[in-house]
Amino acid sequence: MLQIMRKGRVFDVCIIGSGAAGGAAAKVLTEGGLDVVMLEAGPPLYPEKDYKEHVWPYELAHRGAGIGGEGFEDFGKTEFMAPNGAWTIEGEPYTSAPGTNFRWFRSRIVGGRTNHWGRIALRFAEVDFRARSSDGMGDDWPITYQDLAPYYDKVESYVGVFGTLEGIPSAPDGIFQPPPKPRCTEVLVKKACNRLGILCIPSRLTIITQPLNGRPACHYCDQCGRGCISASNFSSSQVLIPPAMETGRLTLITNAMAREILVGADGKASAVSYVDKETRTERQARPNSSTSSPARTKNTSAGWAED
Amino acid sequence: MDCPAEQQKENLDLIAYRKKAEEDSSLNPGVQFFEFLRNLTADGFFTSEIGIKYLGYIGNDYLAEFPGCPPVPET
Repeated sequence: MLQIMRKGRVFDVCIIGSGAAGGAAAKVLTEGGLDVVMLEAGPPLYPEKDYKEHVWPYELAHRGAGIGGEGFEDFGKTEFMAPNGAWTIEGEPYTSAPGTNFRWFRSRIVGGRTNHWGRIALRFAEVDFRARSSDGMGDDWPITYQDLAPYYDKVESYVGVFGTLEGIPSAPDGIFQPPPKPRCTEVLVKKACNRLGILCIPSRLTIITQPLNGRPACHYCDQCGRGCISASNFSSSQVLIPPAMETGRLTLITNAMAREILVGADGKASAVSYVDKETRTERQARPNSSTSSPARTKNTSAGWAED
Repeated sequence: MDCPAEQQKENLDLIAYRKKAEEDSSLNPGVQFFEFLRNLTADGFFTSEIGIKYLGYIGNDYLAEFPGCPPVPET
């Protein structure tokens, strides 16, 4: 029988997961004055020490290919990649239904997959909110693109996205910094596309080409997947969680695997039960039950597909 | 291993150049082994300091500004 540890402190909000959604919620809620506890299943992250940016292969064991060359099979296992993101993670079981081989790149670290992702940041288009009525597949959303557009504006202004205004209905324009100049391969592809009449535009990535909120512009080392020490590309760990921490109202608990959202007799979330992976004990994070709002426990983790 | 040098080379040519690999599937394990060895050898060299220098690789560095591609000639 596991011993259940109850944490003494009560918070306004409990956030599960420290990735893109969790980090954004933590920033907005703490800056709005709420006390927030955040549960992250992975370890803490120290970019200046953990990121292998600008390191050369010959400076690393196994030339960075991982023990026994495991990086050849799973690029997350190379010693270059920002830490704790891979197709398979030790101690983190992953199963798929018999006869299927669906794979899901997972991450266990503060910032989650925002440390590894390719930084592509496209807006949903109007048609994406009306899937059922446009092609009969999926469902229509209860909100429209216009409802969400102001929030896209806010996020893009804060995290920094480069791109170009194109007026394409399936890829709405946003608040963009100028894109970098094209590389030679891109110049050639663009020329060929022009000849064939195919629309070819710069990508839209959360990499800043101009300084933003104290973050310096990209220095074009071409190693985004290693994590960016100068935070010139976006990660929750470097761009969202630090300002939340600065408010003094964010308590980040690492190595805390959320197990269950406990619901009280009133139907409201009363606590999140989690396993402290270091001590292997079960603990609880408790949002403030005296507030009159509905359940305030937020499961924001993009890892929803894991269960 | 005990073959004369000429036969050794002959065997290596069979698995290295793969000319007959399609018609003779018994060569597959050898072809795969040689490919693996060749990849590791190339990886080993081109991830060394002199290998990277030989490639003329200019990435993995700080650039104050990205100049983009020099003008591409019209074709």
